[in-house]
Amino acid sequence: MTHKGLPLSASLANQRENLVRKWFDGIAQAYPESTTRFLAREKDPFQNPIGHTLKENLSVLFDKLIQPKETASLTTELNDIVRMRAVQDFSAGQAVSFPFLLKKILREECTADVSRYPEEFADLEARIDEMALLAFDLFMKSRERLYEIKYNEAKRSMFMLEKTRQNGNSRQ
Amino acid sequence: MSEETLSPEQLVQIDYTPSKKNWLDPTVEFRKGTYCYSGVAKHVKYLDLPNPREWQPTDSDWKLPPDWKQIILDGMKERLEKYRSFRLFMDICVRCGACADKCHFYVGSGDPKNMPVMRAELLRSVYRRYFTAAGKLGKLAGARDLDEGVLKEWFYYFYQCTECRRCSVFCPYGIDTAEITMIGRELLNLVGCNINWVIEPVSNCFRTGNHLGIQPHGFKDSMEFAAEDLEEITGIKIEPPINKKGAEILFIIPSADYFASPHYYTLLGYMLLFKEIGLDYTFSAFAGEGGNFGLFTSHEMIKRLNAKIYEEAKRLGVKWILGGECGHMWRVMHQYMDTMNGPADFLEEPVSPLTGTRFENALSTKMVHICEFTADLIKNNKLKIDASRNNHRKVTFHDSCNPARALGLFEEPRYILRKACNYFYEMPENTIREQTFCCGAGAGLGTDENLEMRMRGGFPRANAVKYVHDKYGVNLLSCICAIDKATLPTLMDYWVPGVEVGGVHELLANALVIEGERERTTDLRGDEMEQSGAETTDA
Ligand code: SF4
Ligand code: SF4
Repeated sequence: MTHKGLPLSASLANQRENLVRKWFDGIAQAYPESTTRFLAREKDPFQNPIGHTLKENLSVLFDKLIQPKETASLTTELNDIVRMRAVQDFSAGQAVSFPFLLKKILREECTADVSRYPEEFADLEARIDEMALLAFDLFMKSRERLYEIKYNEAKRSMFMLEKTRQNGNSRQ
Repeated sequence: MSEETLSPEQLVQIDYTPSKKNWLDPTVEFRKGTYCYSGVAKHVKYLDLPNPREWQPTDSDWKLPPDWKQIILDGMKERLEKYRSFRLFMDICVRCGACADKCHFYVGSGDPKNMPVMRAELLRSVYRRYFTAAGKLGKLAGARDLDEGVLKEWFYYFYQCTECRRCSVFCPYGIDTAEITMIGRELLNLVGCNINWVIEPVSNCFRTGNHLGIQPHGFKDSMEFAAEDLEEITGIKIEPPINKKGAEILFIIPSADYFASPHYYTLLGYMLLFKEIGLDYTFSAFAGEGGNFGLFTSHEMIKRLNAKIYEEAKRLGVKWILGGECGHMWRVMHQYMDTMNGPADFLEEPVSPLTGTRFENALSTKMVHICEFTADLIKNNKLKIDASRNNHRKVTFHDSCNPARALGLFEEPRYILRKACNYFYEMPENTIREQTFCCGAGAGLGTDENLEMRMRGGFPRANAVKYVHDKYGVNLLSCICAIDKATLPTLMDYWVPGVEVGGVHELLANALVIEGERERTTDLRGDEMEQSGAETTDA
């Protein structure tokens, strides 16, 4: 079994900036061209919430993923990204495919690491697959959430009707 | 590593090539969740609007009148002559791009056609083709023939603009894309392309005076119901004045205040405040709607629906008008009412009967915003306030687009909130005041079939709320707009669970110490108050 501080994770940590940037770029490229540039360029987190949400959370996910022993939950960061993609112009597959993009990048960028640490690398890929499954679950939850909040909104809009009806019943 | 390829990766059939559309192509896909349903024929007919019929945007045949193209071009010509601003906005854009990334729909969706400059270009390209010399010769770049594809694109994107005017704040030429959208919608209306979430309230309003079609006895019931609730909470008996002739002040509110939640608690707030200060005012069952969805239809419709305000003020013989927490109502009152249905020379200059303050800013319309009125009361020490009663609320304030950008009302609501709440925190500077981000559901787009689009459009707002929620534990988003109160709770439910939405006068009334009240243990919502002493923090 692997343990913390392995050469693979150390090596990946060294390449963190490049790898996370490539991961981000890959996701940003699925938006129309002018938007891709905007997402990468605009630094203000409030002016660029999509870019900001991606950047912040991809970095944390990356850090958690490359630590083999850490079983830190990925849910919070993953959910922030997936919730956003669940209401944008993507199919379900497109919305949750971004974990696999990381696999592709790792295989392309880290060929030396792949051949030096085949076992550890396979472990890492398995963790990425798990993340993808979790992303899909979270995607489904976000979609279900849309139905719930729709229902809640309808209820609030009939607040008075409901109140007077209940009152009428209790008077009888 | 071919053994890996049987993983979930294949199941989602990943395509790494970006899905890029040519964005000059007018084809739009009406995907469920991203557009509003069409205006129902009976309402269109009731309003004498053109081309009532059964149709939906997803139909391939929109059943347009045979001469629809001529109707639109004639309509454009008429408006270019009538509204100087429209022609100016068509001509002077230099495509500098300053507005491009300022629209919440662009920022939240990434769709370039939601850049304000591109939204305007939808109309401008047709203007170039038919109304400029070079365009007529077919030689001008960026000129487009008007065809059904273009019309459908107009429908898609002009009903994807909340007319919030954030973009106009950044345009060096003062181009107001909201006004371009308004004209775009007027033109669409000429051939019967409107949306039901606008047309039905307009038709109801025309018939009964309010969006939901509530009749006078229903109005009365609601008000009495609210008074009973207040008596239960505070022990104070209130008789809501309705259609009271000779009252000093006519009070206009959005109808959602008396049928929806959380608006209702703001209604309780006003009533309690007026009781405490002994205001001589009246509600009106006829002018029982401040909202005016005519603003989202056509200039003519704004005028038709707005007329009841002055009519009722005259009939009841009041001195001046006070208006409640509503958003676009203030755009109408401030920018259109006086010229469309004024002058209101039968009314007096508004003067607060308690402080003697003259509201000179309302000299021409004779209509005062409740936040100005209340802030003035507080400033003159007319109210006894115990802010610790709101200690269970960590509050932030969303500047609703219209009070902020159409009325310039920034300080008064904040002044009230800081007096009524010990925990008040601002969202980041570039998301509030004149730069406020829209709720994503204004201008008639707050309907549930459009929910996905609303979640995209509201994302920048929610993102800023999330920041103060994470940083300070903010749990209440306050605002002074009825559309906000209807749609922000939904936005919060999705993006920032744990944040509720409420009105400024709801919070004020929680904190208001009333002569003769029973000890209050819950706020107006029935939530437990913390009974500890006050400790003041001001962010
Ligand atoms: S900021 Fe004004 S001039 Fe510049 S592109 Fe936008 S509308 Fe045109
Ligand atoms: S008015 Fe608001 S919604 Fe419309 S284009 Fe400008 S920023 Fe976008």
